[in-house]
Amino acid sequence: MDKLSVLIAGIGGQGVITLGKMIAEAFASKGYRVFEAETHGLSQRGGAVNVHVRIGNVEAPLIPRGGADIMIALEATEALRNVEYLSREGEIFLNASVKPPSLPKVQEYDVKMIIERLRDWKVHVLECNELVGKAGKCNTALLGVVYQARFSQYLERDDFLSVLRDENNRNSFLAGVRFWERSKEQALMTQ
Amino acid sequence: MLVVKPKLMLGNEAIAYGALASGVAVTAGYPGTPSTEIIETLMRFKDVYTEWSSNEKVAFETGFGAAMVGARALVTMKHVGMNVASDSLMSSSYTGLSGALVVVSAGDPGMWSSQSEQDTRYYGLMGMIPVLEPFNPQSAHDLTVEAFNLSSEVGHPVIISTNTRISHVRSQVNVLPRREPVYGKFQKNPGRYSLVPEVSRKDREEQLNRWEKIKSLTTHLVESRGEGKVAVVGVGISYSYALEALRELKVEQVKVIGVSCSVPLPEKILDYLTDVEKVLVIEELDPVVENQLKSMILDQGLHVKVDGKKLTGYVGEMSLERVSKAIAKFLGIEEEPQLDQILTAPVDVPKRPPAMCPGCPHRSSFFFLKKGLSLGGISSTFYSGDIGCYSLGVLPPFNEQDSLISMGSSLGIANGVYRSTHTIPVAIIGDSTFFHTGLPGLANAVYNKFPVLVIVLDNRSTAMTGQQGSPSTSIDIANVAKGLGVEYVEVGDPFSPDFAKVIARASEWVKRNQAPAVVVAKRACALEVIDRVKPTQVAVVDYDKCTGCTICYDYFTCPAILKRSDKKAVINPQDCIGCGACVPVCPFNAIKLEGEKPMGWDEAWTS
Repeated sequence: MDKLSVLIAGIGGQGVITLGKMIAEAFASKGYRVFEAETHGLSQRGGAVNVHVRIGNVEAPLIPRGGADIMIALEATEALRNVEYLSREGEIFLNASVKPPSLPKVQEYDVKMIIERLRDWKVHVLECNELVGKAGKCNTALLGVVYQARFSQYLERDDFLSVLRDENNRNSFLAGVRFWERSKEQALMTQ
Repeated sequence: MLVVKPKLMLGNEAIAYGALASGVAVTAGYPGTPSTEIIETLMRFKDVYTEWSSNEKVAFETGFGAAMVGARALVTMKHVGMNVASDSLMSSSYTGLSGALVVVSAGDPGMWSSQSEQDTRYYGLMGMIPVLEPFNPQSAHDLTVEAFNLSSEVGHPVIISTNTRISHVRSQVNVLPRREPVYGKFQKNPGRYSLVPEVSRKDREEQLNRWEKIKSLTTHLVESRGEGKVAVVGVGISYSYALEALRELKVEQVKVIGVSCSVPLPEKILDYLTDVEKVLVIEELDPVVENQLKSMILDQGLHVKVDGKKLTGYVGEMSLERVSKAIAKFLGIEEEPQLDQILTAPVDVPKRPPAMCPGCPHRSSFFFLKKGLSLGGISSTFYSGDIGCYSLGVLPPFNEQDSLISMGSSLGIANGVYRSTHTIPVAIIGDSTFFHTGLPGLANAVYNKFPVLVIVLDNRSTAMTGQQGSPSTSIDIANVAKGLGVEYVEVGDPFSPDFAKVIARASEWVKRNQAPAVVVAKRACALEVIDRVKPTQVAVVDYDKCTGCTICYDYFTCPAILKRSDKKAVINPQDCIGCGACVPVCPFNAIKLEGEKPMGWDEAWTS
């Protein structure tokens, strides 16, 4: 690997920063050079947040626009807001749920419309609720999916399992891993 | 020297570990993004004295006093905090010191969480104080050690200028081992530290002597890579961007010069420019290094063309694209094709500003303040705001922050508005900000008989930066106001519908007496409450009573309350903390709490 840039988009309180930290820690534990840049001006919840993770032969902490290989979106509108960071070949792992901003008289976005507008990219539409249910952890479930899809060539499953805090997080991660394996098998069968 | 395995850490933690490796003994700061984690990291080390001071000036003076008597001290603040500390900062450069004093100023180019992106390196130029500028978390650690060495060797304060993309970036850092903290010894030297004119004039001469010494000790803080007739100078974080941009652009025959000491710019840089015809200086914010370089080149009669801000621009953070574009233009080469093809973000994505949390007492204060003012006969007023989580009151539906200028400015600005319009204003200030720089404004209001309604939002915490403490946990604000001579002081609970009546009574009093009144809205920060007590209740909507009037989701806007397709409200149990603030907001009594109240719940909110 020369370099890999991962952009995580979501809403304050969804575990966006924690997700970035877990990816940075796992790659760092294997000796990759990492930069993980957080913007957390206000500690209140509910604002748009993105985290830049850069791995490998890099010097600067921020992903240039059009430079991300992978985007993990914990909320669908946030994928749209940050799509300028994604390269043309970039892949989006999208939690297909929408949360309206806490403002009066907002117009809510429809997930289908968002996915339609992201049609120029490869979008993996996921649903956290289906993956792990309400009790599970959405951010680590998506991490499991992305690990199996994109990081498994560089890292072991244990590199993540050892940085995950508790059983619920580890189970959510593994649910994501299994989901991706299953969908791969199904794709093979239908070919 | 023993070096342990690199650890993944924030730039701010790297600065803290650099200070520990330098024998720091006394540390003080005021919380401010992106500086806060430095003191938080140091608080884990019990043999180092650490405090959150009431403001940056007090923090600076604490470090300065400690260094006066020989200790090694670290002071931290955000860039605008330097303005508050600057009076004593300037004096410290005159007196010098006998220990070591390092001041970290954490800047915020792009203004992610600040009122301005001012370039605090000017304080270095203005006060003859060296400014070291790291380019990544590792260099933040290393330059902290440099700063302590320089400060103790010369006996002069040193500024470290970091920013969001160093302080809040996690990367691998090799940390030097800890050194025993160096405390001071009781001593006096008024001939140096008591700045009466005679002493100041002598100190001024010595300041200039130290400045020359500083110049000779910082020559190694500029480095050069590669060879060529053209050079790119990267200052601080811009050095990292320049290195990667040049690699991406695949240009050779360009010399790259990294500057880690932006004030004074080491004259050594001229040695690297002997064969160079033109140079591009890349730095964030203002042309501090660019102007020093131009002046040096003019002094030496050299013929080197210097480009800088004209190509890189002043505003906001540096980025790889911005640096690549500037370098491409400077070298007269075609830009990378991908740079032209960058997709811009869709413009119609709804804005998602940060919101006051579910259970935030400020939301209720703003909701009932409007009601109370109209009950009290103040229907049209100027809401003079201040800095804190409640700054979010600027957003709809509240629109109750007509100005917010700087820490503690609410009362002074309100005074000016009143003096020129005779409209009674409302000054809104948080508890931590009140003790930071609000007190002189309130004293002035009493002294100059200023009819103003002051609302102190007392959530017992410096909440915006992550719930650090606040003097309000040990000093009663109502007593402070009374002590300052405010005749009308009332404490109210913003969760109670009676809060509107409290506001109304105070408004009437101000109108009648033409003097300041203070209302303290007292209820704890919700994040702090749920850290202490696990919530076990949720609010639910009674659909027989809910009429879909929209008040709870469009005029109260708790993030947990959503609009159903039939316009009735629905409360998301995953976001709701069961605070009950929405219950009195519903005019149809359609919201009630379900579940059993947890032990210690009320005490957590009100203690």
